[in-house]
Amino acid sequence: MDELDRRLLTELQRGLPLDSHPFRVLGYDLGLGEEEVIARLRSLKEQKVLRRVGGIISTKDIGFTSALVAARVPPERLEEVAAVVSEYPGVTHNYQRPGELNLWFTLIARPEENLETLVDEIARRTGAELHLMPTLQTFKIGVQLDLTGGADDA
Amino acid sequence: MPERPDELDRAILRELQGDLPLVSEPYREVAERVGISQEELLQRLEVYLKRHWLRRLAGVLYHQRAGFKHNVMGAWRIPAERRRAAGAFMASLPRVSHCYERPEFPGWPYNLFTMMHGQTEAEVQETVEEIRRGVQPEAYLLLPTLREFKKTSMQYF
Repeated sequence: MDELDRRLLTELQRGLPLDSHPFRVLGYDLGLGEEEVIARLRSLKEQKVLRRVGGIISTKDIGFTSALVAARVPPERLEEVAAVVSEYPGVTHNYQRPGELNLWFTLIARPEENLETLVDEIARRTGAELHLMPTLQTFKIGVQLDLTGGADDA
Repeated sequence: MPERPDELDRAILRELQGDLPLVSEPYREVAERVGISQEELLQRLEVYLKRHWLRRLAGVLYHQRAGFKHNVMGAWRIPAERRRAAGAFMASLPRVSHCYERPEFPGWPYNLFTMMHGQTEAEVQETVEEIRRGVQPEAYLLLPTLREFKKTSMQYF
């Protein structure tokens, strides 16, 4: 990654223009032509720095519900319980963290599903103590990392 | 009732939840796949942004590979009367990507959550100190990711 890649990625996280040639527009400010922007993005994808370019869907605004769930799992059962949790397509993040609540996952329910019912089912299947932690107030949502002015070339 | 996606909307969002092709006219390709013109697609995308079905069209990174190797969840106890101001302060920090209020429960006295990302551990620690000084939490926990069992994007449609 060079400095131009970093600026390109920082800009691309903010948004891709709604234009028939979005990569050309994206390149203007950076002084890059369309073909170079596309070539750089393809390479960044191959390097697994760029995960995807696409729509960031607002879960609740399309009628889905979501929450963070914290679980208290006996350490010796952590992998087994985590595997059951990860089976659910609505679980997008599932992490071990330190402390008594040692497994944390995000759960999304479809409009025809019910979040509490899903959590009850997971609790029943795993025998783990689960705590549903819905969002009461959102102060910030959106991962836009500033890559510019950072460390040396990686 | 807010508008909900109809069949064509869902077909479009199905394409957009994944990957746009890295080509000169990516929207034209998506439009062809769902059987409409590029102009109609762009108009619809504007509407989706207005309705907030889409927060934005953008690039999403792999944090780790992009150099952000230190990712920590912070759980903070802030009294109710100071919570809104504290949340706004936390949200203003560039290394805080997400900030939410969530309910307390017996044995869990924390009510504000932050996700913090740094290229080094020191950067995360610096952000923690900024928050401590800025919002004076009654208590807090730092919960780094010890293991990632699953991390994926939601397939909505």
